Amino acid sequence: MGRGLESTLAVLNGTIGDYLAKTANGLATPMEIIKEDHPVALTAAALKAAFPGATPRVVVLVHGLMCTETCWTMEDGTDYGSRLAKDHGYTPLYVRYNTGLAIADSGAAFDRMLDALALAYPVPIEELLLLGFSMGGLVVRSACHAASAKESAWLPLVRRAIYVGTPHLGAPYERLGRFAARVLEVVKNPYTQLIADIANLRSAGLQDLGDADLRHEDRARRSTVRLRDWRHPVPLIPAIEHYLVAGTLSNEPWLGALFGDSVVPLASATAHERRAGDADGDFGLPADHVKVIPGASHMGLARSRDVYETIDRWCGRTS
Amino acid sequence: MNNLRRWKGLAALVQSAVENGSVAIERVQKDTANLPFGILEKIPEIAPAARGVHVVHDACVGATHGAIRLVTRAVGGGVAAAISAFDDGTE
Repeated sequence: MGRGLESTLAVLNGTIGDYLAKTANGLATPMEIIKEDHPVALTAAALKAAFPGATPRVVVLVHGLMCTETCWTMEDGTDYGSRLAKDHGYTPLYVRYNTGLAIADSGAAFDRMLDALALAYPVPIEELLLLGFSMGGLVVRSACHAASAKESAWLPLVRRAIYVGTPHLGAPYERLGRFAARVLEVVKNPYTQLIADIANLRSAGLQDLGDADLRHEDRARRSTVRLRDWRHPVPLIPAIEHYLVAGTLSNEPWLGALFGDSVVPLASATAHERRAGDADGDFGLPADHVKVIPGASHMGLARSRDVYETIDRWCGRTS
Repeated sequence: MNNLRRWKGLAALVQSAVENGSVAIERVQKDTANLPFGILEKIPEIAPAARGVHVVHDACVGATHGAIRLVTRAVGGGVAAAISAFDDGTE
């Protein structure tokens, strides 16, 4: 019942979460660290009580659109966080947040959360590993960008950031939806305009996924009727090692390249797409920082043994 | 406390959905009626009568949706007050 309710609220927040937050509605999900279904206050006492065996290595897991922290749970009850704890001594912290907020707002909130965490964590943090799934990866990038601008204390603690199924170059379904809504708006018919109005109720977070808008100013460029904006002006923070995991539903290379994990195209998840004279669509990461998992659906990427094996390897374990 | 906050939020959301839905449907109904009334109002013999019926139609639609919104607001306010009273009583 509890998890079912939280999952329902996660979908509601992902759909209209910005409206819920703007109207101070009690259904809006605040950004919180969750331990065993309960939020943990970011105070020294609460963190010490919740994490009595806190280690100096911390992994923070950030879920995707319309999800909760349960999206990470594998069939055997483990998840990337608990496995990293066992294999590498990380203390896993699971974030829950309102995925309907603009990614820039979620990123700013995540920046503040990590600031508070760095101060109140029971032992001095030596390493922060950031692990984002889908939209969560964009929230991580947005937070890093915000932290870089204001020189947040937690940013130098981040050695690695891992993005799983993250649409670094945007999500085509959202762009298609945006385009359809614009077409419906243009048709001077009360019914099509009603449908367009309903379609435009979708949350800011969802709309940000279209072109992977990490900052508010990125959203302003969305004034054209083009299906695609090729500019991705927010670079990766160079001081951090970035790792990308992408999935392809089909084992056939051409199908995989076309449909990706069914939600995020391969080119977007691997941030590897160039147009003539435009280098912005490629992060220029080393080849071994990008892993494509064949036969993995989008949601499956958040709880896949193959993905964990890759994360495990990236985190330094070779056995 | 958290659950009551959520119940209150649900009540507010339902109220908002009904109110905004009513505004949207009122607009659709009026816009849809504008088309046949517009044609009738161009026929000189029946234009004055058609204009009168159009005004009455729009007033009826407006009054009906206005009443829906008024009742929704009253019920929503009542539910929110009841939840707040229950919340106060349990603290």
